[in-house]
Amino acid sequence: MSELRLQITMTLDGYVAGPNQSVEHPLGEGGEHLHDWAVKLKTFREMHGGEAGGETGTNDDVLREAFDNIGAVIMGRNMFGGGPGPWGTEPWSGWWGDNPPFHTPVFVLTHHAREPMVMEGGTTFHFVTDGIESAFEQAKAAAGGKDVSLGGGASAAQQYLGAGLIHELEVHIVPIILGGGARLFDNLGDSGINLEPIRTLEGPGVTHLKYRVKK
Amino acid sequence: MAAPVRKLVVTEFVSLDGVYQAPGGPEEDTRGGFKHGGWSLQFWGEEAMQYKSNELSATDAILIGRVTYEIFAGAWPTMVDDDVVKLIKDGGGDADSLAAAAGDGNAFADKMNSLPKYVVSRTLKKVEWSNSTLIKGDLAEEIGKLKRQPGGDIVVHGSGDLAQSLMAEGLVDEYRLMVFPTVLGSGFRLFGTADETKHLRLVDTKPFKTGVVVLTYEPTREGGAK
Repeated sequence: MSELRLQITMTLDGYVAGPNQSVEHPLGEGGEHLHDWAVKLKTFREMHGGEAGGETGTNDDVLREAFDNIGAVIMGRNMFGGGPGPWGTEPWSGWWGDNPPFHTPVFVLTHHAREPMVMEGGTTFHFVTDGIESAFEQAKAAAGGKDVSLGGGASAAQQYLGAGLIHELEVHIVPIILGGGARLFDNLGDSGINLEPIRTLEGPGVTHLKYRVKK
Repeated sequence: MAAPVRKLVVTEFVSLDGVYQAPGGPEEDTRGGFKHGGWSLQFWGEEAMQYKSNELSATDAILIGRVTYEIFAGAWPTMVDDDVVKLIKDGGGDADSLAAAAGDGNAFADKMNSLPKYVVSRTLKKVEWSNSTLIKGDLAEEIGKLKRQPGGDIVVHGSGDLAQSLMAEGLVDEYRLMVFPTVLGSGFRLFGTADETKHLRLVDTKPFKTGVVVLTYEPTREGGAK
């Protein structure tokens, strides 16, 4: 059965993006260092256009596992980008260029309908306007028995966490105290989420905490 | 040669969503209508208790704020180690192994009661818990004086507001966060909002069988402690 897996990098004080996100600062001010641990890895380079080389080791193993057995991706409109509101006449096509690093169908949560966009390298963006459950159902159907990855951002992650739809959560904690921005664990209500630890790994500059969400 | 400066350690129990409020009991700290008090108890076990025992053995002074002082001073003077075991057992933790880890007698509670305590408060007029001293006045100046006195580690427990002030002043030399595998969704968070980004250095990751992970960090040079 397809599961929904969330992999996300979080600062020690709980933020997944800095304040004032914009085209210049897609991860908010100060958020550009969040993924320093990932961008130099072999797996990251392979997913982002096949540039050779890159670091191997614990962090790379974790990242490789994160992409493994993923058949579809879900992301929020804010992560896809292009600002809130209607798409306009020259619609935004994502941050990632002609060959995005997903290489699967990607389901973008939005209030604004739009035709699917076929990109190079196996990525197709589908725009889902009827809610998070529908996006998960569509992603599952497209995943061909593999799992679905929830790409982010904070708001999409909160909605899926709050709805109890996430099966597996891996938080990559980086040693940064950001002081502001978008929190991962926010707007979840007061009922709490119980987690079952799967494993803890330490790589250079980042700790990987992996949990199953208890139903 | 300058005299060695005592290390100031902030040690905390936090949920995965960063809440530090009332880990040990429902009545511990109900500010803001907090309903999850005692959330840490079910995850305690031998490794966690051993870790805290070792930490306490290496502690030379405790530094706390007013709220944590009132919680501690209301509990520790009459506590024995068996009470700690019972508290954890009642909260769903593994208390049988704790009794073994705690060892004979009353070492943990005795140490809590006998250690020097420094209490930072603008409102308290006096402190009565054994060996407690009230700190008023400029925080950076007073803590700076304390750090230059001879002695070992000064350890901050709980005391979220104080911890934030110490962080903002760049006075913290080490962070030890015991991260518990639960998301509470409400409660006071250890890290508040701040104007500037701080980069730390991950020193150690220690996972326990119950799902608790101890993360240890030090400030980096540019954000280093004074």
